[in-house]
Amino acid sequence: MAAQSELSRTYRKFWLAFEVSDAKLALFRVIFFAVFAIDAWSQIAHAPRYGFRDFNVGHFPFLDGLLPMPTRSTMVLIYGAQTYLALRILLGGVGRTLYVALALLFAYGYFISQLNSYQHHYLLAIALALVAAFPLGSAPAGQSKPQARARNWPVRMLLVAISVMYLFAALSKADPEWLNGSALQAQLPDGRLREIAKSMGWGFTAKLTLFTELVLVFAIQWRRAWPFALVTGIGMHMMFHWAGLKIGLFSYFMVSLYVLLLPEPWVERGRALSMKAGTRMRPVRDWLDKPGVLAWLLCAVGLAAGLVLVQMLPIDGFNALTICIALLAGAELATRWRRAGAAGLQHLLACALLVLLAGHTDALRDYYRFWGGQERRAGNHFESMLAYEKVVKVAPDYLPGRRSLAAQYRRLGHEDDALSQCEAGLAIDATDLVLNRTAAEIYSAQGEGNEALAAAERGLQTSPNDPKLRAIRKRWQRELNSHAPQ
Amino acid sequence: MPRRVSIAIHLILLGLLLPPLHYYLFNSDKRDERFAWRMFSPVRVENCGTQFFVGENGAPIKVANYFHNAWLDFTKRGRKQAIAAMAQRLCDDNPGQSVRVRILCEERPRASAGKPRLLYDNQRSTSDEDIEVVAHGAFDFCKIGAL
Repeated sequence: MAAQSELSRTYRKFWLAFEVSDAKLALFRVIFFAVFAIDAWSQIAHAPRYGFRDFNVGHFPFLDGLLPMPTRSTMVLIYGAQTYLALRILLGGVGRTLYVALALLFAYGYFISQLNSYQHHYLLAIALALVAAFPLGSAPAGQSKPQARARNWPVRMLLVAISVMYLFAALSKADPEWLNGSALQAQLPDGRLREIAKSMGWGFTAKLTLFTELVLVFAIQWRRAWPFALVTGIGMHMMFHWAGLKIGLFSYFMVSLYVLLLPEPWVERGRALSMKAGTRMRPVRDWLDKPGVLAWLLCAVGLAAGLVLVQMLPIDGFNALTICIALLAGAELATRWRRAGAAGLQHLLACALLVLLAGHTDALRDYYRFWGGQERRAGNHFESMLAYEKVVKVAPDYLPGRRSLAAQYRRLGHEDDALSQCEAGLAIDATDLVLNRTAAEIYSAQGEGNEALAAAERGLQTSPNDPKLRAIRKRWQRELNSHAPQ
Repeated sequence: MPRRVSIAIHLILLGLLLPPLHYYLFNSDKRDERFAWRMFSPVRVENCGTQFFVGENGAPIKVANYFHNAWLDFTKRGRKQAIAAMAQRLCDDNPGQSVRVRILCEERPRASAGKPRLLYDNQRSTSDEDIEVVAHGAFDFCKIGAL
């Protein structure tokens, strides 16, 4: 009886006595949602695969009739809005509205189609649902210093979810094919890590992976083992990343979740360092938090300027995205109207970061590239041309975009436009085989012998045995020589 | 433990454990590893090929003409739920014609030297003698609604 009572007490303590400092939660929020924002934005590249010929298979059959069918445009909207919300949260927008909206948008984007079957997106759906349903608690009023610790069972639950993931990941490897190393050997891409695994022995490396996952199941739940879990877990996930496995940002997400395992003294040291900057910012924060005409003016200017920035994004359906972001910002403001100035400023910063993300990643370029490729395969050459024109617009130095656009122009009989693309591409790389071949063919067909010969010569420097280029060179060498003055 | 918190904790725990347990206990399609946390599992070593035959013509259709490339990955992994949905779409688009599906999964050659080992063939997965067998030995999906 006493033992049972002790077990029950330990179980209750496991959940309810779990403490985490506000400073650690703040650090987790920043790192986790930064990775989230990058991941959500990068998903835009995959939007064109949705809704093709109105075909879709949801994760659950009942969703197919219940929720709207995903399309290229709606998925751009979903991922764009997710990015905005993640940026708002990492910038300090801790209102429940933001978390709930993000969790719902993410759940729709994930569960509506099996096209997104990433396991880590399932983990994210769980994490976001937890955070939205049970806001990460902060220390009770009166102890609201960042080092104050709140009892926080939802954070414990998040750690339990990670343990469940490791447990089943280890179980799936309790299979002869994995244990003898052949499954690992078949999946690990060529590279340094493959060489290391090979030298250690495939079977040994496979068993070591399984053992590590099993150890992490328990180490994550035991505070004293956290330094060990941090080193082992982060090391394992970064090795997965460096191995070149096609797992998106999974490793970075896991690293961001491991922030929850940072020992409190380490977090406290970091907090003390950041306090100096925080103290200097205090008057600004106090001013922003003061309700009044100035705060509302700042809010209005911030909202408008942010939306103008989003409107400038060179993305298909940006009007819809701007309206969606305006609605989300409005909904959040309605629940935090007392801090209107801060909300307006955070909104402006989030929109600016969104534009920065768009300019410094390949997501938009790939979005138009994949869209163009899909239309080309479907035989819709005009739509494909329009998409490739956007590729060239957002990434003028991207040679494959110029090549594809030139090819589409030729299919549609726009030879001069194709030639312009070739020339623009060859100004970036004069030895490009495809562009030189295309240019040579067009010049040759137009009877421009000297230009055709020059393009063929350039292409043959890259590929001396190219039969088309050799034929063009032969023809124009002969014809130009026969017309040369004796 | 407060009652409401206790209920919430145990419901969430169930929600975390049931999906992966469903895979091991009830899921007949072991290639469908969603929600089971089977990262880098041996199933990924398999290489499946799926062919769709529409009508009585001998040759399989070119799947890329009907579905986005991304769905072709599902046919290569032998994911039955997606393959069945694709077959159903072909039935809807071709009324009155038969749609037959052939799924063959082999062990990838990289895992072992020599000829790949056949791991799965959907035509050998049923013992129901009443099912009408048409050309190529596969079943008309439009009539039986199963692979």
